[in-house]
Formats: sequence, C-alpha cells, structure tokens
Amino acid sequence: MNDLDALLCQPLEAVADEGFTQRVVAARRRQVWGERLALFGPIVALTALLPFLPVEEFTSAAVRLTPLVAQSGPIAFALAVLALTLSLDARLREAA
Amino acid sequence: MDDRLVREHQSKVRAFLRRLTRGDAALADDLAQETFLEAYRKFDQYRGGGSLSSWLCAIAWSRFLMERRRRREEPLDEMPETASPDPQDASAAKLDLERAMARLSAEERAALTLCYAQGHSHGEAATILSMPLGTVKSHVLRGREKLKAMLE
Repeated sequence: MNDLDALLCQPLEAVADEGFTQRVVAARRRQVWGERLALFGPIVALTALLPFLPVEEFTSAAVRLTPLVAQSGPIAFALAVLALTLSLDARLREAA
Repeated sequence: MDDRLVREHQSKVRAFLRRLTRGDAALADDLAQETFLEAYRKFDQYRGGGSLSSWLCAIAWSRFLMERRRRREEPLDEMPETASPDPQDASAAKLDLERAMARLSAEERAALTLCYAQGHSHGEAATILSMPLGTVKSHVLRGREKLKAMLE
C-alpha cells in the first residue's frame, strides 16, 4: 500500500489568496472598531451627560457613603468573593 | 494592520478546512476567516511552543467542531459531497482519494491530513486536535484501512 501512503503524503492543493487576506483584514478592522465602541462608547456618553447631572449631590452622597462601605463586613466579603471569582475565571480562560 | 499572519498561512488553513468540510469552499473560507479573527484576538495566548500554523490549525479544528455542533440537524459528516478538486488540476488517483476521504469521519480526515499531507507527528496532531495520542493513532490507522478498502 505504498501507493496509498505516497498519495496521502502529497501536500494539499495550495489555495490561491484571491482577496481572502483583504477580507479578513477588513473584518478584523470592523471587529476592532466594534470593541473600541463597546469600550469607549459608554464613557463618551457619560462624559457628554456630565454637565446635566447633579454632580454635587453625587459627590456629597459619595462622601457620606464611602466610610460606611469601607467599614462594612458583608460588602468586603462580597467584593472578596467577586475578586476570587474573576481571577479564577481568568485562569480557566487562560488554561482553555 | 499587519496582514502577514493571514497572507502566510491562509493556504494551509483553508486547504485543511476544505478537506474537513469535504470540499465546501464557501464554508471552509467562512471558518478560515473566523479562525484568523480568533487568532488575532488571542494572539497574546500563543506561547510559541509549537509552530504558528499548528496553532492556527488547532483553532480551525475547534471552529469546525463548533460549526458541526451548530448544525445538529444537518451534521457535516452527513452532508452530501459538495465539491471535488478541479479535474484539470488533479490526477485521477488524487480525485479518487478525495472522494474516498469524503466518506471518512471528520476525525479520521483530520488525523490523516495532519499526519500525512501536512507532515505532523502523531503527538503534534494530538495537540492540534486536543485528543489523546492513542485516539489519534487509532483514527489514522482506521482511516487508512478504510481508504485502502475503498480504493482497492
């Protein structure tokens, strides 16, 4: 069956590019823009809304609440669980 | 954007996928495009342990499996043969091989293609296909025996 082995060992037919590379590069550009939009879109929208928001009220509420949050046991525990979950998820993704 | 990754490896990846999809060039090209997009996204995960084309073939294989899972009602393995190599380019023996190859399971086609046509070792093929070494060896052996019987 050396004939079969010889036949199987022949390299696969080369496939001509015929614009494939350009299509992939264009799709990649669209993908990158989509990712940027998803990342920066909300930030830009929030920045645009900032002048219309009651910033002082938010600031005073933050000043009042921050020490309470920092001293809260349940919130610290929940944040620790969240951090552990995220790091475990990242490790699993890396291993996959 | 640097297109060298695609330009240098497109032929090998597309040919591998055409073999897996039994000559369905359109489907193979769609899967190849998804393969390269995933490769760009995950390029920081490429550790350089194996060759870049092996890494791309591994992504291509997983994309193929995802597509097969997605088409549960019409599994790729049961799809009719959609295309054959151009008879003007292929010898009769090669044509017979492609037809016989189309009747094997996707796992057998992949294992035979990687180990024979692309010259990978059984170990490399096992890494690419995410299968135990023994499984790859048995796919190669069984696929070769089936081809032998079909071509005789």
